Amino acid sequence: MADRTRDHVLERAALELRPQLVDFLRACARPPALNHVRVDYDSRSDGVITHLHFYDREDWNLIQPRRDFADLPLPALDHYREDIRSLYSRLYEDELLRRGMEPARRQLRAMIEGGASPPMIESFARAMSVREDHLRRYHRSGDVPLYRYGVDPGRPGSDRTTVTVRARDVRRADMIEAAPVDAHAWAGLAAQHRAYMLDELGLTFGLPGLFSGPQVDPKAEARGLTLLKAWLAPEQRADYEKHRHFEVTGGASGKRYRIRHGRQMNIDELDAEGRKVCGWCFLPEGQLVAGDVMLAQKIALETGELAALQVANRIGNVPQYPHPRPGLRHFDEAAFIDRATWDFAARAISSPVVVADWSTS
Amino acid sequence: MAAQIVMDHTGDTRHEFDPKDAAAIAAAEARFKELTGLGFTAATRTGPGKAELARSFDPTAPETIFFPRLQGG
Repeated sequence: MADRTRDHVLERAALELRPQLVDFLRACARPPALNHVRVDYDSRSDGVITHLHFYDREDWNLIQPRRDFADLPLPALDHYREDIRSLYSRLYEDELLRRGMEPARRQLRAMIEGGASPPMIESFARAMSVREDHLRRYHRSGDVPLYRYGVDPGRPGSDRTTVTVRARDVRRADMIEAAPVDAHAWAGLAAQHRAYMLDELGLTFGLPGLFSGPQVDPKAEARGLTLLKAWLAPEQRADYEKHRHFEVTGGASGKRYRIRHGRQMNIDELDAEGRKVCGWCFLPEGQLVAGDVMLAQKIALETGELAALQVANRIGNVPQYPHPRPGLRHFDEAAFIDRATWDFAARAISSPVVVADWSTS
Repeated sequence: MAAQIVMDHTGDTRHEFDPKDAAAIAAAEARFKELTGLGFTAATRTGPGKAELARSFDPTAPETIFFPRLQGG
């Protein structure tokens, strides 16, 4: 992209984009439960937004008179773009996951207070810790400056940076981690929404990727896809080129899996009729391109299915949950990013955003 | 020529070697052991769309692919 073109677009965006972003935020950048946004900005430094806080209740007794995003001082465009990205992440990949972990924490406290056996408490706490670390590693990092707006210092396990996801009993994990798994599904959906909507926004200005953050090296991406296609069977290659997904057969179980284009949360287990049973998520360590990841997933499922599933996370297993789980149901509906997903996101929003402003002057 | 294909952030890195060259085979075997020792999985192509895990170095395999250790995502 020529710098001149980019400068022109950014200049145009500064003039024209803001109203669209306001609508965009209202329509999409908020899960249904989080209706209130508190915006802190520093009036001493050109109104740069310093904090965004999200609330799901209306009895916030310090709420200020309503303001609109359009009324906020326009910070430097780069800051504004960062704010937009952080808004998404803060909403979806941080707040929702934190909320999803809360039931598990409550259960742990209840186990401790109820005198559960130490091995059981330890086992539960370990599983929860693994999940927390997993969520943080895969859904709260990357190109988005999530913690520019601060973190919850009291969050358990926040000081850990790495953890080995150990093989574990999937059924038991489902039982004790239902809420986090639900949040995981939401986060995956939200991440896809975010990518999709930011792409849409870029397309509005004729420059795909303008708002999508750092792009994958297209040469690396192409090399990965070339390698993938070279190792696919002819029918798999044809499916991939036509539908951007292909099927593999589990080497141990004979089950059918559909691998969709992507790096994460892109494996569907299918029943005999080709209906999705649940999702699986595993990938090689490191920042590999999508083609490499899909090839590793194919080889792993075909030649080492059980070992792969031992480290994988299982997602969206709706029938095994005792109660309706709308998040997962919606996630299944939106398994593919297309116009229907966009429409779903729009439908999920039912009430207007209330924005309050706390100046830090 | 045989090839060892190592997945990485560039897509992949290919190491080609002559299976008739003893020194090249030794280097390829050392690379195989190094990578698998680091947790990489090795697989060879056995037919169109078919692969099998390589537990040990096979100098006759035309293509061996290596991908990093799997993790839950």
